[in-house]
Amino acid sequence: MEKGGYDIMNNVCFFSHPKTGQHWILFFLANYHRILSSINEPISWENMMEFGKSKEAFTVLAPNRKYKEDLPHLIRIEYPYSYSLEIKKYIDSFDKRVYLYRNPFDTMISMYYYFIANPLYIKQINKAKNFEDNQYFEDFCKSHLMGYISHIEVSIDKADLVLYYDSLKKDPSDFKKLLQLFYDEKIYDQAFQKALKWSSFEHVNEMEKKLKQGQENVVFHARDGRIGQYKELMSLDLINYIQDKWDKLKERVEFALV
Amino acid sequence: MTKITFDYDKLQDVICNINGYELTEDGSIRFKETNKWEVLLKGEMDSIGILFMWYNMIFKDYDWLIRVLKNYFKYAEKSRNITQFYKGYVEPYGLVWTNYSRFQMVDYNEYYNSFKSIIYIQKDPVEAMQSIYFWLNKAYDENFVLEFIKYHLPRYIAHIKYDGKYANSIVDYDALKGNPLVLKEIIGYIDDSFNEEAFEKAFISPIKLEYKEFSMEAKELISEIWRREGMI
Repeated sequence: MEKGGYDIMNNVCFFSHPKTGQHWILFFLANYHRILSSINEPISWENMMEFGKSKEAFTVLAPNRKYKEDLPHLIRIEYPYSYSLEIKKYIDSFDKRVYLYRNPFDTMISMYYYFIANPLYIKQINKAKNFEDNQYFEDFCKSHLMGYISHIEVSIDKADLVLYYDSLKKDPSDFKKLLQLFYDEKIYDQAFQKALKWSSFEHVNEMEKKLKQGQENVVFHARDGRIGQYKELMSLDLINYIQDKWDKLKERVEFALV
Repeated sequence: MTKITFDYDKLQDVICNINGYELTEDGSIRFKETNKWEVLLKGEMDSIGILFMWYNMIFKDYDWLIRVLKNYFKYAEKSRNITQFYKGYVEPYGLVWTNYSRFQMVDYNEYYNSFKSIIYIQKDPVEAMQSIYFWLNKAYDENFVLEFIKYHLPRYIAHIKYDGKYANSIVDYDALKGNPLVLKEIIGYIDDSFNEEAFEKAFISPIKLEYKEFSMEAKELISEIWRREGMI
C-alpha cells in the first residue's frame, strides 16, 4: 500500500451529457482524494474548472502527491460513446467507465440557464432573457432533448457504473460505488462525509461567486442543483412531451432507467 | 423579385453585442477590437440578410455551393459578402452560412433573428448520415454504423425540426445540385437584377462524393428513426 493510505485500482473514464451534474461528482472525488492525501482544504474553483477547459484529459489534483502515477487517473468527457470510432476506441481504452445521467426535465432547464438565461448573459445583452419567450424556450428544450436522449441511448449500456444524479442528491451513498472503482481499500466514512460537505452546491456556488465577483461577461456554471425546478418553469404540454420521449427511450434501452 | 430590407434598430441591438461590432451614427458597422476602426458596411442596407443553415455537411458540399455563389457575384460584378459564421466570427450582413443551431447560444439566436431570410438546406437522411459518418470516421465499421446512426440521426432531425422551423424556406440539397433554378431563386433573394450570363458561367456541376454506401440494415434503421420521429 502507498504512503497515502490507498492503492490506485483503475483508470476511469467519466462520461455524460453536459449539464447532468458532472462537476459536482468531480468536486466530490477530488475532495475525497485530497482528504486522504492529508490536504486540509477543498480543491479550488480554478483547479476544478480545468475540467471544463479540456475535454482531453484531467488528473484529479492533489498537489502534495509527488508522482502523477500516485493519483487516480480520471478522464472526463461529454461525448457519447458512439460519437465517432475514435471516441469509442478512447472510451474503451479505460479500465472502467462511469456514466452519469439526470432527469430530462431539469437537465433541459440547466442547459437553458447555462446557454441562454445565465444572469451574466442577461447583463451582457441588457435584455430579459428569461422564460417569457415560451415558444423559443419550448423549442430549445425539444431540440436539446433529442440530443440528450440519443446520448443516453448509445452510452448507458457501455458503462461499468451508472450514476443517477437525482438519486445521488437524495442519498449520496452511491458515491461509495464510485470510490470503489478507484481505491481498493475500505471507504473512510469520516473522509467521505467531509468530502460531501466540501462539495455541496452551497460551497461550490460561494467559491464561484467569490472568484467571479466584479468580472464581466463570464458564465456561471453552478446554480443550486435543485431537483424539480422544471415544475415551476415548464408548461404541462412540454412536461408531457418530454415524459413521452423519456418513456419511449426506456422501451429501447436494456438498462433500467429511472 | 423580393427586395430585402433590414430592420435597422434590430441590427443595432444585435450587432452591438456580438464580438465587438458596433453600429455608428452614419450607418456603418465598425469592428471595435482592432484600432483600425475597419468600416464593414456603409450606405445601402437592402442587400443584407440571408442565412443558410444545415447540419454538419462535409466540406466538399460547402465548397461547391459557396463557390457557385461567390463566382456568380464576381462575374456579375456585384459586391456581396458571402461568409461563414464560424466560432464566433461574424460578418453581420450579406450572405452567411452556418451549421450552428440557434439553440446553442443566446447570441446565435439573436443574430439569426436579425436576418431577413433564412434558408435551411436539408439532405436526404441516408445521404446525410453517410456524409457525416465519413467526415468523422476514416474506417467503415459495419456494427458501429448502427450505433453511430442512433446518436447522430436524432440530432439531425432535431436540427431540421427546430432550426428549420424558423427558416423562410427549406431547400433539398439534391434539388439544389440537380436544378439550377433553385439556386437562381436563392440568388434572387440578394440580387434583384439577376444576371443570367454570370450564373451560367458560375454554375458548375458538383463533385460526386464517393464513399461506401451504408448496408441495408443501416438504411432500414435510418427509415425507422425517421418514421419514429414523425419525419414521414
